[in-house]
Amino acid sequence: MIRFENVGMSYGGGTEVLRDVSFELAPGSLTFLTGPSGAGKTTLLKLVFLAERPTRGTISMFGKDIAAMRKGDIPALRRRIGVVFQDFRLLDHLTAYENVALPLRIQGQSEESYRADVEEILAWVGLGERMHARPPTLSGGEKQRIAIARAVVARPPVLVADEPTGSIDPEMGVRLMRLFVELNRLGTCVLIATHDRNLVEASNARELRLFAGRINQAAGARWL
Amino acid sequence: MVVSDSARRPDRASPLFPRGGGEGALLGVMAIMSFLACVTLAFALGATRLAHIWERGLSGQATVQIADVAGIAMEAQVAGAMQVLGATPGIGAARVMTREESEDLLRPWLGDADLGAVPVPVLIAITLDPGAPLDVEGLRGRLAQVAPGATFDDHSRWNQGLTSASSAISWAAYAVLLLIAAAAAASVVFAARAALQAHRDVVDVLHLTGATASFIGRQVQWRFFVLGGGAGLAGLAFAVVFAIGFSVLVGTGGSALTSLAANWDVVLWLLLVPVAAAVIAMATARFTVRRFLAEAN
Repeated sequence: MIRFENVGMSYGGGTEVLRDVSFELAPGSLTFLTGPSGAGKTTLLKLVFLAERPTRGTISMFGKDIAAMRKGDIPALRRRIGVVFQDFRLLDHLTAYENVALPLRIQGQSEESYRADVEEILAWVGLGERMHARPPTLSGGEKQRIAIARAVVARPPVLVADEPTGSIDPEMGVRLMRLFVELNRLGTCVLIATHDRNLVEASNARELRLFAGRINQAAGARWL
Repeated sequence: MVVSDSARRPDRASPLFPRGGGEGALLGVMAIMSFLACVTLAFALGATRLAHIWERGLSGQATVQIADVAGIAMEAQVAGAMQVLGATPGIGAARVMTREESEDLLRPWLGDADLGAVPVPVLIAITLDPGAPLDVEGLRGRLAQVAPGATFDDHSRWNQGLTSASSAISWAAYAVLLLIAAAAAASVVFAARAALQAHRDVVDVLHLTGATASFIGRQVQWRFFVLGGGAGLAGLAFAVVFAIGFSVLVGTGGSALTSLAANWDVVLWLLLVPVAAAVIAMATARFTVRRFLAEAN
């Protein structure tokens, strides 16, 4: 589904942040991306959700080499990848409902067609009663759940989450993990970047461990 | 009373880019530009129209001026000239102006002085026949034979001058209109870029959520279309108030401007200003968003 081969990445021609990174995410898999701060987790995720292009190596998504894709084809690819940002990136002037509906609105769907889906997913993340509140009035946990609902509302085959439990209490973290596991069971390929060892160890999921820009082969993940 | 969230459901989806920022300033600038465009357009149309009116008035008229010539009675010259005019194709009507009428024509230059002792030439007012061509040179030759003091003036010298002047004024006004449109477009470019920079977070989220450049452009361009149209209407309203105020200030002297404002075709042209402002704002915003996104990627 997503395949990295000898990927290197540097910003502005400087030192490589990622070096010779190779791995594959299979459909329906659940994978943790771990490593200390500055190891390159966020950069790797940016490559996965196409916010950056690699400086070398090959990235294939859904069977296509992204380097060979036309610029105009990128938005359609991005719609197949749901992203939960570390800082949520909710739009403060929109309600929770409108934030969640954003991917469907971007796809050109009418509100009549997506209203029930959005309300259902807000209820699923436990925010059915807060759907018309705006992000500044929501707690960190509520914002995180809105961000997750937005990432999955269009049912993308891939979900990427950057430190999804970083700014919430452990109890809420466990609840959010249950949401990710449930999504994974429904067939979504989930990649979660975290430095929370408890989260990783509580799960039997595969782990990609990044250290100084390289995948640590001793981490026990399935390598190419 | 506590109002639940669901009771406050918005009827329409909120705009993806928050309102505010420099929109008020742009509205003001565009309104001023539209006001200037309305005034310039009215001026251009007015100049063209007045030139046509004068040209039409002059081109249908001609004059024969008969000065005293020693040895020939004035009455004989006038009678001979009227006879020639009556027999010339292209002359619709000819009328000898009275001494009083001639003196009235001189009064603006000579004031109320007694003109009794001044040799005032006799004027024959001619209405040309638009259906028959006039051989001007032939007519001058025949007049010279019967009235050596006669001079035929078909006003072509004035006509030519008026046409050139009105044409120059109109073209200058249209050039000013183009400059105003360019300045308005430049203002929109700055405002659109500032709005995109200010809402860079929104642009990023839309991009990463799979929005195309066209989608993002649409969100911005319709905002600018409405803003440009609103500013255009405000500018038109200022221009109308300005025209009314101007005509009040100049009193009956402003009748030319007032009568122009009363002409519906001019009003229709002026109504195009808000439309043009809206279209310029929209097209420029669309172009700017495309450029901005291309640079950002």
